[in-house]
Amino acid sequence: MKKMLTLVAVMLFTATSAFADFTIYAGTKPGSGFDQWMQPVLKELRKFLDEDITVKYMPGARGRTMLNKWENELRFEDPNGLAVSGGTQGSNWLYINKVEYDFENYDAVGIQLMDIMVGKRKSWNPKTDNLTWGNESGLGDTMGTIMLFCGNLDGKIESYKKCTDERLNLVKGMKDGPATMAYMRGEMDIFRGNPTAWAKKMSKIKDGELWFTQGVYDRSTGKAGDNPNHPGMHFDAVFERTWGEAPKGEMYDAYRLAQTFNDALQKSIWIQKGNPKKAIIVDALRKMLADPESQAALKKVNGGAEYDWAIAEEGDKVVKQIKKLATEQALKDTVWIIKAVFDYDVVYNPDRISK
Amino acid sequence: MEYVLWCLAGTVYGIILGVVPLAGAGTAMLLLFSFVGFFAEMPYAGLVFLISVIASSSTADSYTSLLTGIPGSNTTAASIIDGHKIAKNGEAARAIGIAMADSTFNAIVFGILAFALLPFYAPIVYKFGLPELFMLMTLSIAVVAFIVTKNIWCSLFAIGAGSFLGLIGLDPHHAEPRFTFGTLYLEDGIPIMMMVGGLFGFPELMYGFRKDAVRPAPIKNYFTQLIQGWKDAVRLWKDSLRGGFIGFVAGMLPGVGPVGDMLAYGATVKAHPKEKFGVGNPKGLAGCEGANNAQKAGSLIPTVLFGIPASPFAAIFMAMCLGFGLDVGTPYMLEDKKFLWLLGSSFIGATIFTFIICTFTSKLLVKILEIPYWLYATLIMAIIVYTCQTYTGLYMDYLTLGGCTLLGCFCKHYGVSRPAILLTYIIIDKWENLGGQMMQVYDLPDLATRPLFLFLLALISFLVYKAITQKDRGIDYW
Repeated sequence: MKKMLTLVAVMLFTATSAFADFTIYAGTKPGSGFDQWMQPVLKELRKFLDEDITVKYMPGARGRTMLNKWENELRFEDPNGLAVSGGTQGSNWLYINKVEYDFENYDAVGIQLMDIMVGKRKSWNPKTDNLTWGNESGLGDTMGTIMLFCGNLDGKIESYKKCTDERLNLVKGMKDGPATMAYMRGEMDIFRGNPTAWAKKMSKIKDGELWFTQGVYDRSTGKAGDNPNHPGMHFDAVFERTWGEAPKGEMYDAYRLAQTFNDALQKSIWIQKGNPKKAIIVDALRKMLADPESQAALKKVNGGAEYDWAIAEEGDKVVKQIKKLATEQALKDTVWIIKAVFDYDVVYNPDRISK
Repeated sequence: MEYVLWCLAGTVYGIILGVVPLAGAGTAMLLLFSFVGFFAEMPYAGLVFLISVIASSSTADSYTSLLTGIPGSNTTAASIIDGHKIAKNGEAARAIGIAMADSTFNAIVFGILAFALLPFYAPIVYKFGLPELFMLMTLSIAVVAFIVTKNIWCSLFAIGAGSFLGLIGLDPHHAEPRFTFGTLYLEDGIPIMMMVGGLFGFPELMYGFRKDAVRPAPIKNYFTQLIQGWKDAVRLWKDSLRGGFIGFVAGMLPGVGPVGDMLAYGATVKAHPKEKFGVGNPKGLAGCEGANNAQKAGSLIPTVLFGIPASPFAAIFMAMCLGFGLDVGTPYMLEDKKFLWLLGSSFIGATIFTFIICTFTSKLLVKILEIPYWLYATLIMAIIVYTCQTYTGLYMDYLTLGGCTLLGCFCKHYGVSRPAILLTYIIIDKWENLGGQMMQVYDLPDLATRPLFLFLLALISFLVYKAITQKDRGIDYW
């Protein structure tokens, strides 16, 4: 009843953000995968704020519409504005056209350092079997997949083109949901999921097992490390078990670049630099993360798994750190392999190279 | 208890919007688009609310058709032919009684038929691989093209326009912008709310301005006539059930659902060749009124099973459910018992609530029809604009809505099927995608071993052959 009355109130006041104390801009549609993470987080966050937070959805161009507007207008014009971004916007910064935003221009409120899990059919052998697979959301993890079933080869990125031409049937235009469905019907050999979706998927999939996790970004080393929720299943460890040596070479650097920008920035909240309200929202976030009830709620969002947050200055450090991975060679190789294997419209932008 | 309240709230809202001339379920839901985010935390409450709006508006839209001769929505036009004559003959409440009983009966019968069987469809859905899904999409396009309108050129224009609009965005195979004219906004395609608002909402409401003001037929001896109407409906149960069945089947076929009531009316006339229709024959009303409700239940089946919305209202329903985080169109939802239970029970529950509410408030509801048309039409238009601009708040929201409205007005004026445009717009990129994926995963010899694929191929071939060779292709709806 209370919620219904709230809806009536919202309708009466036309739901404009003008009445809200904080407005969070999201470059996604309501109900999207990102939204399924964001809504429970905001629900918990509100408990520790005296002010309200209203979501303003601004979908379009895979988040670029909103983030470009945030970069050029919103962060200056809206003193109560926050922005959220996901992994696609993180990795798009590296190689997609018409990206005007730059995460270093804002202060991080909090970044939840996440992972991507990849599963496979139990009977499928990555070393000997061919692979049928497609998922337009997962460029990074598909690069990891390619490496894990091709091996180190001669270390040159061009060699992976030959390997994928021979062994990979990359099905184009597959979105995450249909790709998992195709796996369940036996049309694909592997599947993938972010922490929010993984447990749900595993509960539905009968013939499937975790193959590898990309790893959680470790701030102390500046690299993706073991995921404590799936110990021993880190990409590097699985690679070594499969091929008897550590992963290395141009493909590995390219993979780590694309993957880290996707996973480390998979769930991020931003505020304009110097905004006096930063202290309020950061304080609320810290309280939320210290509260056992909220912790339990957030754990539930990620299917029972726990992922660490880099808060405020810690988050800013993460952005600076991961940008160092964008060396000239790694960026060139990333763009090359995406064009050569995925046939995607990506660009090499020298401005993205670490200074 | 919470869901019962949401059901009641949706019913009341649906009844009010249903009574508003030319609005109907689609417009009622479109106006709620900006509140999708509100239900993100309680998706099942959103589902109950939406289904209740659909069920109740499908019954309440009869008031307008019967009492004023203006369609309450685009799926109740057939009710006017005999129903409005009955009302003009001084038996308005009798017409309401027939319509209410007929709608309630068919909604319950075909609602149960549709929703109770949904869980059993789940294993079948898994049989639909990429080739079968591709053929199902092809079948949908073929049905839209060849059945809905008599004029094949109008159909082809509709398919062309829908295809062009549906293909705007990022080419899924190469992630390259396509028909976006260099704007980032269009890279995600044209939002469905602009399409529905522009193609249907605005043209219908603007069309209403051109109609002369009509005072609703007066209601006399309300309860006596109402009970007489109920008795008529019981007596004419065969006509009622036939109409419901036709509406139900039409509802499952993409593009055909909106004309289900006309098909049902035509079948009633054929079933009684010696009787005169169009003069206030209760059989004419009983034979078509419930088709509208059964069509709603039928249209939700392909929507829930395969994500193929068979009618414009189902397209909005699906988009809003996705907004709540409910993956309608995937087998996940068929395994979600709560989803299935609420889907069916809220449809039936809202139908019963509507019957009870309308029985006791008909005289009050008719007052809505006395409000000057320009007043609520302007209000609804303003809400549609507001709803659409909540998408991004950028000027492109207005431009896109304006473009879709121009197209909608053009189609209404020249008799081009707007449901065909909308459904093609929704289906075409999935069709393109599935076609490419099927060719990547399967070879021709593989396809030749799949019985379901071959059956669908034969069905499509037959449909195309009949469409080309048969002169009487279908009926017009635009």
